[in-house]
Amino acid sequence: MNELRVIDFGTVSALRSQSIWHALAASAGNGGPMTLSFMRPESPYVGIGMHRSIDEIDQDYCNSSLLPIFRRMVGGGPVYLDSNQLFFQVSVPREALPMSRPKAIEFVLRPFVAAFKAAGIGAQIDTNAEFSVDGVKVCGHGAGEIDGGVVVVGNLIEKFDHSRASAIMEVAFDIVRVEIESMMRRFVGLFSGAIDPNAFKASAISSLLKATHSDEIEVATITDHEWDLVAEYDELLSDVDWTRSPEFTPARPKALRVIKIRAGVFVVYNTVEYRSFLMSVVFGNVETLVVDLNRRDNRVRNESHRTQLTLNDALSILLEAEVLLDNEIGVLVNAGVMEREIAA
Amino acid sequence: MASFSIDGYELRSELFYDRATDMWIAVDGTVAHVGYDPLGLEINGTLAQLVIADLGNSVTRGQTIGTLEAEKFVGPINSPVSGIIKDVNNGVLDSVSQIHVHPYDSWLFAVSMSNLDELDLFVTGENITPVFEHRLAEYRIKGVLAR
Repeated sequence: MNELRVIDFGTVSALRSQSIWHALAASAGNGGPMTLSFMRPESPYVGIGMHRSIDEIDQDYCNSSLLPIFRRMVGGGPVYLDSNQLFFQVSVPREALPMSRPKAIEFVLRPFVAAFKAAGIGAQIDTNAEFSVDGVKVCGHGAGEIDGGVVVVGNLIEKFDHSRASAIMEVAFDIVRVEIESMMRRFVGLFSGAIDPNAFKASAISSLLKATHSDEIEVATITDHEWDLVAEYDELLSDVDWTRSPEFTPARPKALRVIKIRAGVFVVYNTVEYRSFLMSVVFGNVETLVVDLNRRDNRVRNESHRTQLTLNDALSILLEAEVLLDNEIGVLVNAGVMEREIAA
Repeated sequence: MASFSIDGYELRSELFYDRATDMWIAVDGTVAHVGYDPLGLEINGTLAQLVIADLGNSVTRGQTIGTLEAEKFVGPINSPVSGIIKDVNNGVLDSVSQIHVHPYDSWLFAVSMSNLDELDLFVTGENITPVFEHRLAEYRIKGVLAR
């Protein structure tokens, strides 16, 4: 029988809502126990994934809105986080999980299906590996290996601030931000009923205990050594150089931008000289394609507007109009907008 | 160049395979070009980002030389050999998806090896088949099951 330590940290500072679980992962990688933890940040902030450029975030907006930015050691893009989101984390020694990383993430997340249901959200893990209800994403998640320990993180979104979540994104044109917010309102965190975070926590604990064949160890806090680790990650994650991490910022900034709303749903735009396009992709179909062949400011001229296209058709239009270049198609493939076969 | 397949996984007899990192190396004198083998790619999932340390850095076998991101999982890239980083394949780093199409054309980095004895830890030639089959059997059990 394994042991699962369960800790509810309650409300913590924005920084601690990141540094604590980084420390728990590092602890798990060095002889520490498997741990399920919960917390929520006392104030809003912006998180950015390990490999993403800080330039994807509207830093002026964040500064003026007093939103700190923290770079996390797990995947994914820029996200807006606040106290209406209950964070959960599972920290596990690497060797305790399936070798396959996708399977490892699924193994950890699967028990939370019951937790969402207990909270009042009938979510499933869909074919795009997202927790969703009728295509609407109800949980952001990420995972990482930190000093030999694996951590899988997610959140129970009780209420989502679509306006601020789109406002933190750096975009070239206002119409892009409008499209991002519109797509977020359709595909992220929309709930009509009451959500019970306590039921979520209780079910998450029992489901994870069952899945990992573990006994629960309920503790009030972590060890002194782990608090020392937390202090180390406080220092790292609040370091401006770490947050900016120039090695993740391309030397030649790409004009082509892909904003992932949820898995399978993207807003894509590009500028080539005075030409530009804006495209919304929903589960493999292009819902909206706006091509502007004479953009010189924030206004649209010579616009052609198409709806409901296949990705192949959209690709042909964009290449012909020279608003997408052959050597940029790889960006769309890397971002998951299209399959390699379509691009070929 | 002899290419063969085991259960759909393409392998090449002239390469050296490392069970610890699921990587292949192509050895030319004292320089090793390093890439993920097909099983390593399956273990990681669909790669989205790769970051490799700067040229000139020294590494030891097993040491983290960079990070990868696959399906929202961020993990370490460990070097299978010791030495000095001599080259990084920026073309692959800029277009990561091609690794899954052409894993053997998609070396990630090259190391000027400082310890050629480490090659004894790799399998090559006729030894590849039994070792890879064993690794595959292990993966079929541990790949999807937790301990």
